[in-house]
Amino acid sequence: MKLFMNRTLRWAALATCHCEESRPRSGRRGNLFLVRAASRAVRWAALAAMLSIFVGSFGALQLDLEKYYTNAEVVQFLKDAAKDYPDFVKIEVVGKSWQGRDMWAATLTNFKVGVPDRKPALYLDGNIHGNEVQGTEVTLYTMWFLLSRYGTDPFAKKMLDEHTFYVVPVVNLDARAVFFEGTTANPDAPRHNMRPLDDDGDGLVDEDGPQDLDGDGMITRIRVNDPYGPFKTSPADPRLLTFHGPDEKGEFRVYEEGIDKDGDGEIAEDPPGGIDMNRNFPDGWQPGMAGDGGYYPLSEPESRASALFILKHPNIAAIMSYHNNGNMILRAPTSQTDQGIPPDDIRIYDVLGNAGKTYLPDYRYLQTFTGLYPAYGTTIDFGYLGAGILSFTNELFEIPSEHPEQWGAVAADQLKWADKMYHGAGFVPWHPFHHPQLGDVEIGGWAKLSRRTPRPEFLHELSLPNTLFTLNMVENSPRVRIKNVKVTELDDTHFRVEADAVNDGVMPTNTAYAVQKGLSHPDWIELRPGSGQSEMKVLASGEMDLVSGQIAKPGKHARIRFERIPGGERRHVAWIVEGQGNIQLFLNSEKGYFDAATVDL
Amino acid sequence: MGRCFALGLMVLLVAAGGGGGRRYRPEAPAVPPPAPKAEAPPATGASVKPAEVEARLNALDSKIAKVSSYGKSNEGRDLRVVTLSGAGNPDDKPGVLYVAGFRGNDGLAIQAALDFARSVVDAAGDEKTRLLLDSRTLYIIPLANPDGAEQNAAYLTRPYDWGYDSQAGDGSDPTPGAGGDDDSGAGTRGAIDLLQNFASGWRPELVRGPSGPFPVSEPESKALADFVIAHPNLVLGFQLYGTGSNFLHALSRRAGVPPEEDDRKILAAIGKTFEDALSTPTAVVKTGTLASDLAPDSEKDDTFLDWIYQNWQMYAADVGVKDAPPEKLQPLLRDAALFTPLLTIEDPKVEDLSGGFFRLTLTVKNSGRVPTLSKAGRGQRPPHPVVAWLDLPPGVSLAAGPGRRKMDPLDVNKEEPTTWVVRGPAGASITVNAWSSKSGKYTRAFPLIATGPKEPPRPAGQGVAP
Repeated sequence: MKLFMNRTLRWAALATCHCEESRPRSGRRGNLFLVRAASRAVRWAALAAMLSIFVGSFGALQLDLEKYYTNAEVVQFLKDAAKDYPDFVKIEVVGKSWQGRDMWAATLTNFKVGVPDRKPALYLDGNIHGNEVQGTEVTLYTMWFLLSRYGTDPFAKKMLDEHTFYVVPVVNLDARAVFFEGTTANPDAPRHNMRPLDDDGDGLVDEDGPQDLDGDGMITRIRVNDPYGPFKTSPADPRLLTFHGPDEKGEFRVYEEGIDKDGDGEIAEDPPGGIDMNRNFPDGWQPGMAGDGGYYPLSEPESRASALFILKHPNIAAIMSYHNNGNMILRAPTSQTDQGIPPDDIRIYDVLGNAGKTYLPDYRYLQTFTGLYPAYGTTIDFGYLGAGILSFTNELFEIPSEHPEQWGAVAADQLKWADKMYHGAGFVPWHPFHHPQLGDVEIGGWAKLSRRTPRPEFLHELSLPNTLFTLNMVENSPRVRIKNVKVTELDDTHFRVEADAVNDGVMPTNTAYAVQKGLSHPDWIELRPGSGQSEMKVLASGEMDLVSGQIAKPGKHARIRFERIPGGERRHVAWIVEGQGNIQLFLNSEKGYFDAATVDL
Repeated sequence: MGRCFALGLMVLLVAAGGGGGRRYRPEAPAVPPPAPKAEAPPATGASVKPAEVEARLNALDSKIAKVSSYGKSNEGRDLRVVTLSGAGNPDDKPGVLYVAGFRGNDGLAIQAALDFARSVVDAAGDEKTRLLLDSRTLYIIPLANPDGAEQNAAYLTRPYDWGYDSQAGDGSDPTPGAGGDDDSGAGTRGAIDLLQNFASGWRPELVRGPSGPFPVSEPESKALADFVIAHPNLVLGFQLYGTGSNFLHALSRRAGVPPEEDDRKILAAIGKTFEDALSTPTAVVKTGTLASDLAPDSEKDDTFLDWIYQNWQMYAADVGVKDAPPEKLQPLLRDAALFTPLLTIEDPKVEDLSGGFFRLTLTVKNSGRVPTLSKAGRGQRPPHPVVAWLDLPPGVSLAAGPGRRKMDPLDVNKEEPTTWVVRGPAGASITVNAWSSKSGKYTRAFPLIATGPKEPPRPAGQGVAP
């Protein structure tokens, strides 16, 4: 990890610089956000300094947060992690992208402790939307954070000893390649995967994408002077454009950077790709909108691999799928309101989501459908509605605005912020260009790394709190334990065995929704003959009525099932057995691990 | 904590039999609640083995019939399609898909599909068949579920635990991936109905029966879905079924909505041809939606039909072959393929504007029997426009008009006027193309004929100046 003091000092210097610059005007509302940003920067700089001192000497694994990683660099990081921490990291290829890139997944846990694929687990992914790249860096940071601190930080040790992390750093590999290795990305694209798709239905596929005309390595905008055009110069900032009013004159027409290659009078209407893979999951999937959600659920190799990887690991208790942007903590469901969602689940969602107030104070915690917008066929809807897993998406990063309520002023605020924090690199100034079809035009606009994806120096500020937020989810995973085992002798050969099957976690062993829809397997506790000459015959068994002290509904099996154990609750069970020797109690939960105890009769 | 894990491991080893203990056999499952399981559909006709299908398909191979594989089944069998096409690129003409054998024990339908393919190949010399295959392409998949057919079973044959992935088990054996030792009945309830495994109206097993772990989860359904989306030219889709005799079109009850009224009328018109030809005084063939009472229970949830109607803009119907005599059924299936759009270029006019400029005016018309896009497909993304463009020879350039003109979908007999101005030498031949995804491409060539500029009319009495 190149988190060294010089880097930290730069942070502090940057923060100080902005504080000084803004202090004389700090009484004005206009600069409050700079002050807030600066104070945050100081906070994180201090934290980063502590971290760099703390971890500098541990672990060989390097993560460079001074830059974004290409696909190849991501794979190299995973390979390095597996090599440097062979007892903690195993990596595998879980699928292939449309263009044939390997989709890698890492399994993180202390493989020497417990049963790795049974530990309460987190599924973590990023970059399913091709332009929402920084999620990948946060997943890598999470890996590095846990691995590099294992030996010194009890929290990291607990995480890796007791939990498993299934990490898919890049889902949309092909689009990430376009974003970082091509010349046709802009802040908002490419979002989809690279399945060739005839976006305009004209029989030609991907024939009219954007083109980097000015050779700056990205796609911005073309503006053409036209007094009858729909746009005028924004009064808030002369670089920005806004629609003119009915009583105003226009100044510009605007196009995406490119040329009309197929002669249909449109520019960039049929770019390379594809399907929006975060609309391609089964639950809530909408038919008939192939350009959004694909022709059928999980039609895309990348989304299919992601879903199958989740289904393959029923111990996954929580999902975090990182996106950008907007500083939001979004929870499932995304395709419906909370009508029909069990209140128990919403209460747990709220506990986990509201933890954002501590870890991510600038983030809003929202139910996606009602708080943001309907999104059909998302990873987290599949996670919750399809697999019964508590599932979140954090929308990473947002440039602050002092007028968040004024739509027209937000862009100007953000540009002002970008001028300061990116030192001008957030916006390509309008510059003249001779377009082969439009004549003399200007090209300019928001840079690729700007509004949605910050420049890499901001990855530190992004990564740590989001990682801590997500690890808090893991910390709250279900965890079953057998407690209060009691054997009462009824006569020489008959005994009553009582025990509590408890869930020491905050999350339930199965969500109420999963139980309601039959998506989960029940928890169970059973009695087994112990070692040696043990014998055992169950005469009655079942959950105890805590008031009467009797088995409420006596059954006859060694195994007693419960649909779920909510966090912090117990199931008090009893068996009446005939037998001798010792017996074992075994408690099993798909997402809450297992526990065992032995008692003598 | 460490002690707990260690103890857990120890117990696990004992439970797994490593310590000489018995292997635990659990009691009957308490959950999940039993799915509303319908009885698997009964066999129809004699069992047809995949090898027989393979042999009969291979025997069709000829100039107009190409047999190919579009995927592999769960058990590794080839999924076969025969493409029947005359002149031109098969995928550039309106396509009609016939599928049978979703249920492996539906021998009647499988035989009917094979017989139909044979009848078309045998009639290749007829003028009517030749014209059909020059203007349309027929894709026939006689056996969508070969694994089921091998066992004369309706459903797919892979062991499958309803409601849960059989790989996962319920954790009876805590060894990861142990599977198998699954007290919720792995392998005993195990089967997936291919017809219920498609995307539209898919519901989890506990709600609706053996529909699979997620939509299009199976190699057979995925291969068929991918075959369909590799053929944007598909206009019509017919599933042949042997458990009944009616003509049942989309949508099924799972869709929860009826088909668009305009689409229903077209499907009813096709169904009427079956009604008229196949009805007898004792057995009347009827047309209706799958959601109607006409459908056998096992056909009511045809998610394939719903999917191709809702997502691939196809007119889709189940054709009951139970009591249909082959000599009547085969011409009906063949003539149903005439219900496609057909683009033509009408009223062409080339005007010499002088100076090497020529104005070309024409209309693009849908002369077919169905719209270029179903009503269900309107407003979907991507759009399905009708596109017209010119192919210009060297020396001829476009002076005015769009390089590619995109028009809204055309209903039957609707036309769209289009004008271009080109500049080039007289006598040059330009080609006009009209295309839509469902109607294929239609081209027509025009020479630029010099007529000389027309002189403006002179005022009466005005002579030529001396």
